[in-house]
Amino acid sequence: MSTVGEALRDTAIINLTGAVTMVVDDSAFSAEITTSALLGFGIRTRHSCRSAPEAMQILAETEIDLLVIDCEMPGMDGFEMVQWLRRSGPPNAFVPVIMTAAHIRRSMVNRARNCGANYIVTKPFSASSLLERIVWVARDNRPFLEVGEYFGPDRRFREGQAPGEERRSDRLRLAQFEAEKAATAAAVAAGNAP
Amino acid sequence: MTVITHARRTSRLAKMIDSAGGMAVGVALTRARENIARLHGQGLEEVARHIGELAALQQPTTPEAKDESLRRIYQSANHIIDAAGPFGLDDICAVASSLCDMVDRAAAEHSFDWRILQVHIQSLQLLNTLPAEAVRQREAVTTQLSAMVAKKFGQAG
Repeated sequence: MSTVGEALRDTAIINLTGAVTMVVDDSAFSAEITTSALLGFGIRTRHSCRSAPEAMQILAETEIDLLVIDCEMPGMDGFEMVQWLRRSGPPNAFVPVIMTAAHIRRSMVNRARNCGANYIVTKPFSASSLLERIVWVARDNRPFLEVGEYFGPDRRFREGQAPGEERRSDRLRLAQFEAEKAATAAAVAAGNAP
Repeated sequence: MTVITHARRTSRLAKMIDSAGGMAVGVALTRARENIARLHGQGLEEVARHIGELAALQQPTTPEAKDESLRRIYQSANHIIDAAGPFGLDDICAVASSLCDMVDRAAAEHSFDWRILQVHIQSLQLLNTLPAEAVRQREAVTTQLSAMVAKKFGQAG
């Protein structure tokens, strides 16, 4: 899987022509910007909705391949709608979701993390960053987790070392297990096995 | 806490993206940029319209009216970023983003200095009328605004 932020090669071939795509944005102009960019990628937006309830009506009955939704909307916002989507069952509970945000309120950071979207793109986004994210979410094969109220892709998607002290419990348990295994093997080799 | 894991699955989009046909990434990006560039004039009109909406707001007199005004300010500032962003109007985006921060802060602290809104609106109006070539003047507008915000919240904090 390509990493986030990795530039796409200009000569790479992509085929998004048949992707049934929905754009949800309360701003008609912002939706037009998004659909224009998608059209350049070969995606003819099938559903462009101005509100979450309008989108939900379609999503309950029609299977889509990609959802691009704005976070900030009057009434039901994008976070709430994605949370609903993940719990909505077939046909769209596992659909790739890209959220767009001009600004994320401090109080919304946790909601952004917990809503179940595959990726959040902050505006202004360029055509290349949008395409990179689409390719990335298309190939995003993280398992989906249900943990408490959360339903969405496994959020621990970074590979490699943590930037600071390791705090991930599964990694700590694994490190402890490896250390114990190594100690036992060393003891056996030294003839000190219990 | 119980964790239910749903197995990894390949989306239809994943199968589609590598299927036969399609286009080169370079071509897709060029077409997307051309499509967005066609909306340039409309984008500038949108920016001007939302700045106008901000300028038309009256200082509210009741708590309910204040909440509604803050919601509208935040929404307009968001729409300014939406419309200005794709056309490289970074300084306008920065001022609109600063305004979003102010509203966000006001919601947390239950207070809002309306003079700050006025300064942001004046900055937006000025940036929207200054030509793109007036780099120094544009920089001066954003620098002074940033200094004012820093001073204000430096004192408050």
